Amino acid sequence: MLKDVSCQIEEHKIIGLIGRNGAGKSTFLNILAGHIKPTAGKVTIYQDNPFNSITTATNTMFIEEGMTFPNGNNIARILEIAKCFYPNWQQELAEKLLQYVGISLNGLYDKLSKGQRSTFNLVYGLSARCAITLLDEPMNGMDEAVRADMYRAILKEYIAYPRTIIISSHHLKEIEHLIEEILLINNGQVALHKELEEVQQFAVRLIGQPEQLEPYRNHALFERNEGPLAEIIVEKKYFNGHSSIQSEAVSASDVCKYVTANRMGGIDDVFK
Amino acid sequence: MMYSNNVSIWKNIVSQVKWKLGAHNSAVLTIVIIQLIIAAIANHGSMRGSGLNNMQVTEYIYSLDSVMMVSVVAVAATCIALSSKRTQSDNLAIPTTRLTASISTILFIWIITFITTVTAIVSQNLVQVVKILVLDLDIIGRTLVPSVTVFFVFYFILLCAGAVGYFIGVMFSLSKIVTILSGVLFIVYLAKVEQNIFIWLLDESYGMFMLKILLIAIVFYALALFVNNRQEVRRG
Amino acid sequence: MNLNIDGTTPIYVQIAEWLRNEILAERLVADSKVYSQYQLAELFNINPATAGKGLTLLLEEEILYKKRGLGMFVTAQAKEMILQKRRGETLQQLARELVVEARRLAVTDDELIELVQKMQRGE
Repeated sequence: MLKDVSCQIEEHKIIGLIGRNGAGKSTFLNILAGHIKPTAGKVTIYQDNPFNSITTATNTMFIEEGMTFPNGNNIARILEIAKCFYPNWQQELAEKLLQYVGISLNGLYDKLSKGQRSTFNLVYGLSARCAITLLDEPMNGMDEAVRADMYRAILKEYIAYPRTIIISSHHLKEIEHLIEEILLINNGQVALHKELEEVQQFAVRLIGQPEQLEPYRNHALFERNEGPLAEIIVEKKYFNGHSSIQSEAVSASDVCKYVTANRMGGIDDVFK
Repeated sequence: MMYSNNVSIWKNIVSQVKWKLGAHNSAVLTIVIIQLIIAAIANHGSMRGSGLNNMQVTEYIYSLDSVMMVSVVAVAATCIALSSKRTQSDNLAIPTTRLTASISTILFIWIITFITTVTAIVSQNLVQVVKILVLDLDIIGRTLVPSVTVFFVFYFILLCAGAVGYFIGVMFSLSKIVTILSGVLFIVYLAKVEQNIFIWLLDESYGMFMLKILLIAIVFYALALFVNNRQEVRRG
Repeated sequence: MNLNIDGTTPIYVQIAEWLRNEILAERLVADSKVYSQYQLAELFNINPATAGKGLTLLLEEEILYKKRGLGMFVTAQAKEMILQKRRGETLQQLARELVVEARRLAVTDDELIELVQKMQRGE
């Protein structure tokens, strides 16, 4: 799944882990959580190898869609158990958040709807206040209103108790306001690892006549010819400010899209 | 910078055992109820003729047979379920490693086998007391005080059943086909070639029997631990 | 409080711009304490580091100054500097666009000046 991942993540940051479906985001998080042993390479979290380390396990919270809790335990009992295992557990916070989103403490986890489950998982993950909090597509299945609330909850909790949060999404726009850095994974490799602002400044969209844009074509991340005007996206460093070419900023989300696109011309190529 | 929370493996194991006892208390309860039912039914009928043997201890074992049988099956089934994918996945909601998860499961099995041993013997006695008091039956040559030997023989047999069950479960989650095939092959081998393994097991004093069965149990727990440690902890 | 989230203007630039507007509107006056990065983060629902970058930008422009352990404060010359800068940059930029557009529409210089004067009189 992952081939060539080399990166260093500083503590107490919120990192956006971005990538298309199947890019290797979940595998990456599973390795950090110590659930999977990498077949090659080395992972170190605070001088510890996370695989099979009880210290990492206690200080790491990994929230994902497939997580389960023992059948027949009600929500209150699950919280009680968490209190025994996680030294920083915030019981009051968990109860208040669950009450706010309307999840009853007496209910069974297995009876929750998909969206409620995601909400509960996230509340569980935030309340544990683990030094390393890994959130794999935490908002899956939640409705719009709860999503917004939950993003705000992540932010508030982060401010209250700074920790390293890695939040994965294939939808950068949704988490852009929340994150400090982007880690873009594509085909099992790190495609970009930069501060959000740098990604926003990473590329430019050039619009002009095709022959004007010709010199930029070999650096193009994306190109499109529609009628008399052509459009090319290149890394900013290749563009020297040619005056007759119109240049536009490219949003971080578009940068990620173009960097990970497997077809140069996008969907338009299919219809040629 | 280091983590703010350092946790000892031992503390984690103890917490996990407690957690498992809470999470699976219904399984233990089910075993106890089955034991009670069997104890009540079995002693009523066919076991009447059990007095043939002179030895009191043997008689106890004999009369405990049916309870023993179901207990063995129930414990083995519970232990197979303990290593199911779902249970392993549940384990990941709390901090764990493969080692602490396996060790705490084994400790948990030891505890539930102990509990079911006690309840098996108590249920047996309970049924007898009821019979003496309510049905006014006179049961000759039985004592209501459980013998230490009986207790340990029973306990070790269940420990062994748990070990085998847990091992099967672990193998099963590794590969279903391999487990079933090797299981069938093993049984065929025992039935056809190595029939005297049972003779080897039973044909000596209780002390030797317990020692042998304990050895088998330890081998299976160790195998399960070994196999489990080679597997990745992962949500299915 | 809403930010432009089309993703093309960095959020920290927008934060800095918002603070400049607050200073221009005199809701933040000289030597008063400005919002901390955490307050800004909560206010705008953004990452505190991003908010911090906005503050740092103003620190570098000497619109804010730092008191150790107390936070950041508005400098005495802040409002004046912002005004100067806006006149220099923003107004010039707008004027440039106005002139370009006027040429495109074949508006003469006199007509344009008259238009601006009319606007100033509030007609």
